[in-house]
Amino acid sequence: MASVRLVNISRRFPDGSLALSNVSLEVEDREVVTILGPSGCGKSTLLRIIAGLDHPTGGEVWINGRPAAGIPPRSRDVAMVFQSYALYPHMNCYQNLALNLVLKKVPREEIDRRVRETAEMLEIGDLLDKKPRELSGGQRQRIALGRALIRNPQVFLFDEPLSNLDALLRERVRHELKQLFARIQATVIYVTHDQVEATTLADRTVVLDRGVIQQAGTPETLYRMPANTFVASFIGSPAMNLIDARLEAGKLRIGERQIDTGLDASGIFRIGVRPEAIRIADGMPAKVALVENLGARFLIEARVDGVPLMVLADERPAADSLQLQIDPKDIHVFDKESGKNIRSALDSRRIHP
Amino acid sequence: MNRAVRIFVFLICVWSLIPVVWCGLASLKSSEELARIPATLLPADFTLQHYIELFTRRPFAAYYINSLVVSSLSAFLCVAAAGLASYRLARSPKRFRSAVSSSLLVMAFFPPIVLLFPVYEIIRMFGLVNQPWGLILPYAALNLPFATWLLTGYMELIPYELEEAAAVDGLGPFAIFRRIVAPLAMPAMTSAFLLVFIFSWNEFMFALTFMNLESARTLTAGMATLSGAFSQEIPWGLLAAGVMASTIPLILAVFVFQRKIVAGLTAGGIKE
Repeated sequence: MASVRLVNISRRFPDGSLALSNVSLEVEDREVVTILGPSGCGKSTLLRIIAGLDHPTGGEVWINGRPAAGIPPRSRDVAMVFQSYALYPHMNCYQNLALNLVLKKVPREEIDRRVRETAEMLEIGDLLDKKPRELSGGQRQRIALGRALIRNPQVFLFDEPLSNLDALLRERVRHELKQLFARIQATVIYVTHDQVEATTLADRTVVLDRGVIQQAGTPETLYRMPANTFVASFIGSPAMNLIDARLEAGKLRIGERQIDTGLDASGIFRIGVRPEAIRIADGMPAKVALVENLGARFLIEARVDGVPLMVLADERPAADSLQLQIDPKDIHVFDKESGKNIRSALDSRRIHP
Repeated sequence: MNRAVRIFVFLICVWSLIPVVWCGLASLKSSEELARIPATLLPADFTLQHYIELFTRRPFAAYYINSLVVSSLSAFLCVAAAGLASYRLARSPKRFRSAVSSSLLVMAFFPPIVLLFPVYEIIRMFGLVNQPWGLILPYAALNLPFATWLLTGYMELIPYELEEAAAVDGLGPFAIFRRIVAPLAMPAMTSAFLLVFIFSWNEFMFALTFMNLESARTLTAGMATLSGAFSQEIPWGLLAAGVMASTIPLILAVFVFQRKIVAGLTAGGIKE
């Protein structure tokens, strides 16, 4: 296993568009890092640059302490799982798994042993004689995973490996991947647009938007201390409430109540409150506009003096009006222009004991 | 398909097959029966005499071997070159690709006869007259534009991600072509091979011009000399037998590979 270091990576496409801009990131040995972002944010490009399939127009890639520039993909000792799986259609599953070892001239008996071993770990032993087209989506996914695992590479790269699976299967495979990562103790860089995947699998998550890293940190940090409105709205489900409101000497006014945010700031700010941080208890009076049944919980669209707020509640509201309470420490305050969290400068532990 | 169309198709088939069947039947009649008036339809006294004569009194076996060597080598050479060229072309920017593709098609329709004498000069210069290579190289070259054009369309359909997966898996550029792209393009390469093979097998003008020695002739050129070898009469039986003998292997090959030829020619029409 190895570390990966990206230094000021930029990638400008021939048409002039900037896919990545000054991306710096350090992935420690045996760390699982997920790169999260909407489609077109540059996350796949970043992964391809690490694999050597694409080249940065600026910056450096270091793999295991050595610069990777000029080293072709085949010599980088990284394994990649593709979104489309990219299994070789003319080879059976055994050959798909074995190709890399065959090229490395590993003795036949050892190839056989490692293929069986990998197949056993992924429970695909009975598929080895089949061609990819005879397999279901989930089975193909496993073969693609096996093709990477069998190599025991320096770094594993995953490019949205679960996005072609149906919802139920995705959840199961995600769970299995989590166990697998713990077992193989590998350096993993995992690209996804699904925040649940990103936060459940990762030691650390990097949020990318329009080619720029918005924030990197543990899933807990991203959730509790989003650096800006983009991260705030991208992490967490249902999404954070973001409303424009006036602060007067740090006091936020919603309806008739004032909430002291503890900040020393005045002016118009973008205020963020997570739906799960709003409690139904004596406080601000609100009207119920809509109730969505999520199964375990209810998502209520409430209106406080016309301002819409999504509230996550354990029970369906009894009447069409209710009272809401917000703890000051759950209020995120962002700069209206830049979207930056103005509390980021402060120590997060002081605000969130 | 309604009934009228079916009958029409059937009639067209019969119409096209009549000369072939007539020729086939004629090859099995004795020379005496062939000259008989009124003509017979089915051979009255069935004989294989013309076929035997082809291989005993004429060097038909040598023609066969020449044709087989020339056709298969030129087809192999052409498809190997076209495979590499089309792979590169299919991975080029779209503008460049369509410009090259259309010029390839223009070249494919170029009448070979205008090249006959220049090519002859080149062949003579290299001392390849009466050598199999004197036909193999021109045939491969003449078919290269068409074969490249045909294969490019197919190569474009091979997902690029497979090549990327192979690159990460440890394959170099040529290994990617040999282990991934070429096997996947096999249906199209097979049909290109057969089309070039058929062209070379049937080609007459170059074969007649470049091969003067009896022993160097291919089937088509050899056939043309069959009638000239007899001064008094046209050897109808021998000619018919020669036509059948040189055509049947080709027809069999097409039957065997028909499915692949169609698959190769229509590839791209339907996405899998």
